[in-house]
Amino acid sequence: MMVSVTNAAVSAAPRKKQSEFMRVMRQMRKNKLAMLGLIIFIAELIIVLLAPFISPYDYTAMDPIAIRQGPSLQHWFGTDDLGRDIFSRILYGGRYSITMGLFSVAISTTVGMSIGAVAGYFGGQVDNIIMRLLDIIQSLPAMLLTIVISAVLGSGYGNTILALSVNGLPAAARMLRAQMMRERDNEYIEAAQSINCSKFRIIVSHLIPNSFSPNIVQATMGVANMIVMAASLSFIGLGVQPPTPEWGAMLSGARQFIRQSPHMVIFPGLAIAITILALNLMGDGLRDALDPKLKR
Amino acid sequence: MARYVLKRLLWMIPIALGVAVLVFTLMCFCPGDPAEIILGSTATQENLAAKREELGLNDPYIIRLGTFLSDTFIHFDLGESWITGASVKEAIAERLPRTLLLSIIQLIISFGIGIPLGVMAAVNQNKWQDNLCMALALIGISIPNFWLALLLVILFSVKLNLLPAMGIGGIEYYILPALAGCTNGIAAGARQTRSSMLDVIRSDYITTARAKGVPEWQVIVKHGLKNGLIPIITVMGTHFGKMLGGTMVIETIFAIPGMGQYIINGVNNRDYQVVQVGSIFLAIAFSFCMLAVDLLYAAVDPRIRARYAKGGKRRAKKA
Amino acid sequence: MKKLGKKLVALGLTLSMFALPLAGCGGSGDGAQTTAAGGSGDGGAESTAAAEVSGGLSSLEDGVLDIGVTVSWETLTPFRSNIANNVPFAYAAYETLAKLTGDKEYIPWVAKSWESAGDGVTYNVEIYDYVTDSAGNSITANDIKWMIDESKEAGLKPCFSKVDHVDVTGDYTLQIVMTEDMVGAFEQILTNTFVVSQAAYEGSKDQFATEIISTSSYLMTEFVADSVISFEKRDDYWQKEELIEPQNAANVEKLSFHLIKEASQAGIALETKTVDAFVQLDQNTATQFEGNPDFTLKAMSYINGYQLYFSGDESRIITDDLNLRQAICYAIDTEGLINGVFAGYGQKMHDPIADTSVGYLEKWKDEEYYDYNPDKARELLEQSDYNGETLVLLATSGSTMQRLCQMIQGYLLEVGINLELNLVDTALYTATRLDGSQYDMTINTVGGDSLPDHWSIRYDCYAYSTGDATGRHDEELAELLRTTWTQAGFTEENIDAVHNYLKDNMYAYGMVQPENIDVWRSDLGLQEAVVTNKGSVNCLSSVYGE
Repeated sequence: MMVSVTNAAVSAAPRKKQSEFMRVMRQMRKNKLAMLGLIIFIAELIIVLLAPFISPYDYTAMDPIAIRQGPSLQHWFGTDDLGRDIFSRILYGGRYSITMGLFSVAISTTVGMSIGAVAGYFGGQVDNIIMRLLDIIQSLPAMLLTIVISAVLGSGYGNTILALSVNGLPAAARMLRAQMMRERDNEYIEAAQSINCSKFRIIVSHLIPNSFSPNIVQATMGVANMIVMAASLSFIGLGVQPPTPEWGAMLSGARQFIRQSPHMVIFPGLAIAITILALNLMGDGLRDALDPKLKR
Repeated sequence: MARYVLKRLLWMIPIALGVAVLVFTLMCFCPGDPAEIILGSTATQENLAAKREELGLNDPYIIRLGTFLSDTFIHFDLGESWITGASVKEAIAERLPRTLLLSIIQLIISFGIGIPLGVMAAVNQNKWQDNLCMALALIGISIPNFWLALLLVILFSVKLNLLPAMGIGGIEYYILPALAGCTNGIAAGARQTRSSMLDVIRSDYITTARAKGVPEWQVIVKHGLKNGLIPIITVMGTHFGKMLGGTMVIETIFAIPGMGQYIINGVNNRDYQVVQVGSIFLAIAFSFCMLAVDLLYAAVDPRIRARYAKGGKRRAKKA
Repeated sequence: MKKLGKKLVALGLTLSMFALPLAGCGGSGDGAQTTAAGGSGDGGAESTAAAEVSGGLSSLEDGVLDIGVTVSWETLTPFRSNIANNVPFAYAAYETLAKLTGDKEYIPWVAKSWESAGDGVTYNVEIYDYVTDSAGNSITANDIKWMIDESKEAGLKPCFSKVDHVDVTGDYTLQIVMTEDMVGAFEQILTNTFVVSQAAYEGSKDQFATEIISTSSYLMTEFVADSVISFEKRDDYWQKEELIEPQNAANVEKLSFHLIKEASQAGIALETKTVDAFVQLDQNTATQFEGNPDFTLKAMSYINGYQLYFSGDESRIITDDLNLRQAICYAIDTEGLINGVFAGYGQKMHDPIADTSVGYLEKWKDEEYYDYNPDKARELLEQSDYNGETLVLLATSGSTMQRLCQMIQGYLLEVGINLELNLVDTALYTATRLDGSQYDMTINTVGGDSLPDHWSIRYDCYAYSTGDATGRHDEELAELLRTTWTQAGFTEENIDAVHNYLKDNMYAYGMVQPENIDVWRSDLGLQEAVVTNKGSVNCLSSVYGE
């Protein structure tokens, strides 16, 4: 008897999740714009993965003769101030920019959700303290916090990801917590509690899977946000180390040539804009698909 | 109501304290020796040691933190910049208004353009107007603002010679920076307005109003927009915070001596006093803005007003 | 299907959005030039007409000469070194005892005369007996002594640490005693002592952080930290007309300095006439004004060069490997750096010090100084102990430095040396630059009015607790320096010996000495540009108009 209840309680969640996932995917597929975003993003991922095979030049190879040349057949996107091929640099740069976005969101979402889960499940004083701490972090402009943390950690790929991830943390925590507050009173949680399921287990296998869908939407948009934030960091002189061709770094290194060689500024900016556009289209689609009001 | 406001104002004190501790601690871990930066690259060891002593850098963390907190929050002494010796209070009094002005103009443009776009999209749902507005909003989100800033300068200052490209002065100096910084806000405003309007527009009272023969624009503004306003205000609030931070980049490009530049220079120079006090002020400005948002809720929604009056917690927007 | 319409609109708009600036800017290479040239027709005509009427800066619409600068200022205090050294408005803000001109001559300013007592450390200075500041305080020897003592105490200007003590010997005479006999040390005191009345300073509310009372011929009328500083010519300047040196003349009635840090905005400020001139414009930005008749470019040798310093710390493999150091020097194409980083505005160096420093020997320019030779570099690398380790280059993270470092990285890779860049903010750089164990090489731009000034900062192993500026302990070199920098030992022969020692042991490699570029609106009619010792135009004292 006892056993069967446990099984029912435990298996209910994954099955629901499975069907939820299928439903979301069906909904997504109906949304042409979201699919467009998804296709662009996946295409970008493939392209940057295949960068070594596609890119016509080494992204660090300088050509002192071909400095700041406009787009041509040899150099599709032209060359930069050191005679490097911008097309190759954008291909490789995508690896850094996109992964910086993905990793920093992965970190902030995971950590943020853990915090939110703890707060949401325990409620009371624990919740109160955690939320007040998050209030403090959130009352600082995200950019400011990122800059200070970046200065503490120093520049570089890994450090920048860490610095970026801090500012997504409170939002992720809050969102999961709010969602959990709603889920907490559901019967299946009561059922799990009644059979002495450990708190940790309840959080991990019941509450989180049933509460995190808004976080997915937030994370999708967050990747876009982080890419822009990383670019802004490069602009201020923090961020990755040269010659890393992160898009923001390319953009900020090129900005003084905007009058003479606008192509140096246009293409990295375009790369960022298209990626963000794709991610936002995806995020919009996901949100619509997950919106209970649109469930039919 | 007054009690609610008072409570919120009091709550800012622990926030400011928390921010002070947080930023102070972070700056402690910042590599680089302030004494060496102040004295320059050729200072002698004795001078350096004396300067460190003078700044209290040799004291243990907890004592320095205590001194800083008591100076700031008990004696209201914001101290001097370590690098320049200029009063931080005066610098902030000069700079904070510029940053706030810039952010407020951004906010006004964002929602002055965003809300009409959103309304237009919602009223013409799925027609070309809708598509156009939402496409504009998507583009607004996609453009990195410093990139846009450079392009705007070239268009409006160099090619058209309409607006000043940099510096401070009259209100016209803030237009380009505000435009560059507000695309995200326009987009967010338009999207939120559209979705809240769509929610409201199908409801019964709208149909009733139309049936009563109320003019269409009145239906939209008085009945539709007013009832869909709360989520829009929430978006506005969050964006104000973003804009406050975003001005760091915008100020650098447009040579506006505001808080963003001040704090960035402070971080670069390891001018702890500037960074700490500057951050506290930005946080307080942000808290005030959040309070304003909550009061706006009350202004548009009598139910929330009633809840505040009862001293209930502010949970309206989190639900 | 309607969604599809939305998608198409979005796509179309996105593309047109990006096409717009592309089209707009794509043409800007020549487009900008044609518009500029078109404008020059009227602008030029106007200015000649105006110049005929009154001459001088008559082409200024509002009578204010607006000058763009890149060096930020946050305080006006007379005790900070960066104010003294780098800011173009320093001449308008404060006067010093004497001025070092662009021709490397010391001319009197507030000091009437000075002389050495003959022992190498004692100097007698006499100041004019009618110096007054803008508040009417007259300046006496006591004010000068106070300023030197305060500067020494504050420790913010390193040259004052070489002052032993100052005695006031009369109302307007004083005796300055230096700690050691070192060429140029006393002259640095002359050019770095801002003349300020002690009473005025002590009466100031914030120690001159935001206001100035000085003896200068200009009165500060506006100061917005990090943005604008404006000056107006004083009517009651203390010096007699006939005694004002041309380099100290005040030829502009009103002027404003505008801080514009963004290189792209600097060019735009000139294009849109936000500023009338730009001092120390980035070389790459300056190229956009080349050949444009509306603008006059003035390129002058910068007083600092870009040098590559090799670590002297025992823990780095490079420290005991002369072959490796020499291989690195041969591998770097300095001509390539000049073209790639400085848009051709610069010259190859022949010593770590720039050729503008007092004591520089012109004959070095004819010597072979590690000219680009990748084959020789590979050969030397063969003989070295280098086995593919990754070397670390420490530098600051400014955009010029970033480009320079990336090019060096490329050159070294070509001969088979792996280099990792560690570009950090100035604060972190300042904290690590003396610690030779943190890097194999570091790039710095250390100048100096005179050779000993530069040497004592860089190669004197008694200067810092870690040794010399890269953590090296070469006592032989220190000995050589010490015999050379006394007044008696500062001979061509001794100087050459130091130069050769540095060159043969390759402790520091002088790469590029860039040129400062000042860009002026041509219709200002800049006639005789007075060049400062920092290699830029002194806007106050230059002669304008017909």
